[in-house]
Amino acid sequence: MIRGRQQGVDPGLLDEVRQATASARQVVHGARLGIHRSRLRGGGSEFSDYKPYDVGDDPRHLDAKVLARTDRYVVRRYESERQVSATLLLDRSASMSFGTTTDVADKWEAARSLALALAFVLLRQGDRVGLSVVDGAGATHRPPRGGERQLDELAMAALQRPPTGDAGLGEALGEVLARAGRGLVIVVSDLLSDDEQWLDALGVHRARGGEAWVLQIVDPAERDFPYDEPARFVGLEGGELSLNPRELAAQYRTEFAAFCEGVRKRCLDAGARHALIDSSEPLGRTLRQFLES
Amino acid sequence: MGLELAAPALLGGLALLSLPIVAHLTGYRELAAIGFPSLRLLRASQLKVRRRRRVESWILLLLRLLAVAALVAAFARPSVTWTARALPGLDPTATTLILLDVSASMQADGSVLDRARDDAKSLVEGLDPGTLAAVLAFGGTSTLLEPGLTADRGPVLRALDEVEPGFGATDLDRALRHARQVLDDAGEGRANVFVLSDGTATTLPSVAVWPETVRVHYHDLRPGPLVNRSVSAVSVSSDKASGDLTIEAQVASSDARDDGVVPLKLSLGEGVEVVSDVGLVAGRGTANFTLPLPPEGTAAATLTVPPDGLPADDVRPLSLSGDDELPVLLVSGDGGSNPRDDEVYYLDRALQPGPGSPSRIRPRVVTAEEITQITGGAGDVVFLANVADPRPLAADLRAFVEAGGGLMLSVGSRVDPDLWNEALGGLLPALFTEVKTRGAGTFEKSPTGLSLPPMESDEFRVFRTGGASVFSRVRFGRLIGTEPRLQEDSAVLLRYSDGLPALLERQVGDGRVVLFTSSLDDDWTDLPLRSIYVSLVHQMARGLSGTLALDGAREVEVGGSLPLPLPLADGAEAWVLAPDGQEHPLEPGAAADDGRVSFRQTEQPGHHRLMWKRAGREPQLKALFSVLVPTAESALTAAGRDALLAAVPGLVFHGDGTETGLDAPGEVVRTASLVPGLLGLLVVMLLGEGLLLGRRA
Repeated sequence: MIRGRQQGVDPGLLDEVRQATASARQVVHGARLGIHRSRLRGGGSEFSDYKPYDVGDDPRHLDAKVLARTDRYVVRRYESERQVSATLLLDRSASMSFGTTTDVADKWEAARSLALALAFVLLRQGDRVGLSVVDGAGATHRPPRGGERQLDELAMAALQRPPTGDAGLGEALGEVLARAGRGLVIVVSDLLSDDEQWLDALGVHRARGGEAWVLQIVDPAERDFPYDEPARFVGLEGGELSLNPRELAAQYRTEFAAFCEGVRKRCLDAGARHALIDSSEPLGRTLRQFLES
Repeated sequence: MGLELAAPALLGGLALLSLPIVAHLTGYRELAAIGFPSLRLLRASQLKVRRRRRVESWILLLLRLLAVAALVAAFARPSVTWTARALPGLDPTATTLILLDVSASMQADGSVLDRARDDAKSLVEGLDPGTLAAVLAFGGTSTLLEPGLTADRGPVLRALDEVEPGFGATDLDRALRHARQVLDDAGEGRANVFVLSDGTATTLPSVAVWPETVRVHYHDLRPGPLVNRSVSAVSVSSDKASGDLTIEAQVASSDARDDGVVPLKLSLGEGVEVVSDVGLVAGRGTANFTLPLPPEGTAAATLTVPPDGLPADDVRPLSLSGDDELPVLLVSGDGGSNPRDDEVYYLDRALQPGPGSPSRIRPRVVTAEEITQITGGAGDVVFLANVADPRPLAADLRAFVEAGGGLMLSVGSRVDPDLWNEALGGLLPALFTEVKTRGAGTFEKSPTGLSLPPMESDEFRVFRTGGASVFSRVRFGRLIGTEPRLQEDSAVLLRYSDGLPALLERQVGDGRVVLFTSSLDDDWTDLPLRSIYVSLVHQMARGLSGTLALDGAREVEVGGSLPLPLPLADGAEAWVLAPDGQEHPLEPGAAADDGRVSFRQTEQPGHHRLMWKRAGREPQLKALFSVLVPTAESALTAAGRDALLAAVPGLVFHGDGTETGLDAPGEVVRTASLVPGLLGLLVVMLLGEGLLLGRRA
């Protein structure tokens, strides 16, 4: 039984998502029965479609009503519901340490809480969940497993160290996808990496029959740019820029909105689900809305 | 050489130098460092803002340079000079008076007036600064446009813009006399008078010698030959036997060779239209319309010719009056054995139309005993003469008058004052007191006559030309006195020579009651034997029927005047409702001796309605008359170059591409200052700079 009392996971958040279910939109591959629709037909209970009877088909699946009505032999086919193997890709780059809200310390805390809450939901419904954390020091991978202890291990892995360096999201995602096969991959990041190869990698994953979700974490300050006085802006992943916010605040907001819209559009083009998560909003409610959408 | 200070102590003020130093030191500060997730978007934003700023900076620089250049150039007061085509005859240095024709014919062929207006503007604009100019708009009348002769171009040009086309005649004589007067009043020696017209004139200038220093230029702006058809005359007659109303309309063309067919349309309102084709012969033709059912009362009608070069006169208004008979019921209260003794014997004889009489009054005599009911309303008249007991008729009479009927009451020996007061108190202008005798009861010995009647009232207006003196010679042996206090809405129309009321009127509902306090036969008075009797009872009958106000001319040409009657009652108002809906009030103070006001606001052709309104009552249509475009104007009568040259020696005629006189088409050198434009540019530059800086802030 997954209880959700693990270290590093907000129990309140887990309570909020306890009743939620995470269903893959696409049919998935899996060896065990679960709640996700599978490409495998015949063994499940969910009706899929008809096919003309052929030699070798199980005569028990002949549809007697269609035979009586149309004098044609057709076989009912069923869809299996299978377990999914999900891998969470958690961005622990330095930019994730930015935070201006009161509910969470920074974007990293929001991303970590979201990832573990998602893992909690998936594990509760019998799926297997793995975790890859990527930061400036490289990537660490926990293979997908099910069971009660997996959430603890995932939490431990996420809490190893604070955000640092540039994540190199594209490269890390390539590794994760190679390991994940045709399962579900969930990217939790602010997506501010200069490397945009990760979007191409998602497209390839989708083409192979896998599914991907992208949760983009945004702090209100980087969206609204509420600065007035001239200042020296120090990039958390390097660089420095002295400027007068009043002069370019409007332009920056336009740029940021265009950036988010571009990410959303490219995710959709790559066949991935996308959600823009405001770190100042209640995470439990945000996650539930995403899962129910 | 030594330096001395008158007030060395004030050098202590140098301590103030510390202020800018302190401000400088405190104003410098280290920029605060702010950690930010990614500088990628900030850099992109900064790059775009810088690019935009760079462009804006160049624009700002350009604006500032232009502003300085404009300011410097404005101080240099630049101007441009060019040669422009000018209306022939223009002398930029001579006082210029422009006579702008606004007659009806200037609306021909689109609008000649627009061209004349443009030419007038070019004349004004071509004058040198300081040269006086004025515009005089003329048609049937002549008006010097405000502000008169002036060197200020603006008001003159604005006045030209505001000139509206008129519908009147082209009185060139009046216009030139007016122009001469204006120049004489201003004491201007050297002047040019420009007549901008279409080559037509209804009144040619009389021969006059103009000073040699004044040159009259006549510009014929007529675009080319023009054919105008119009209704030149209308006559309406009625057939006594059949009752048909016949309208004879004469159609005239300005071209004597016009032999075309003109579909003439008669519109009677409410969608009733009759079309008759009029074949023109030598530019003239006649159409006859016969209406088997003449309109009731007076109706507005129009005669319309198809649209042509001069649309102003295509629709001719006319008012039609049906030849309605005016039924007058004479109720005799004293029949007698001898016809001459009948109470209404004289009345009936006076009102009966004789052979060939134009009178439309049709009297019918009944006795008080015969009649049981009185009906009718507006337009109907009842004479109640010496009826002993009016009570059976009282209710009917009341309803009859309130519905608009006219009631004439006369008394006699059978009238019991108290009984009449009881029965007809609601109708009598004043209650009766008692029968009074004069001269022992016989008029032969009575000294009592009538005072002079009010000639301004409708009923007595006819006596202005004769018969007024007869009133004083009429004698009365008996009469019925009335209470001094009149009933409401009542007035005394005529008094006896001793001051007692002889004729009183009262407005009741929509109708009117007139009371004669003596008899209408020869029992009490010799009035029936007097020459004024017939006219008086006719006027009374017509006055009570409401048809008197419609007497007289019903048509007037644009610019003409028409006498219109005013209501006599206190507090009553009168006005004329023009075709455009404008109301022209008629002021009682402007009335002539006959009580009529000369209406002169006849600028607009069409149907005009004379409206009366008594206090507390609805307005009433009292008369309908038409204002017409002058026939001579419709004929497009050419002024004629030779006639003009003969009438105004020295006149220069410009028209048809030829000029007769001294001047030839010329050019004028125009100069315009660029300073206002440069100052405007400066303002625009400063505004642009302000906008850019504001956007940055």
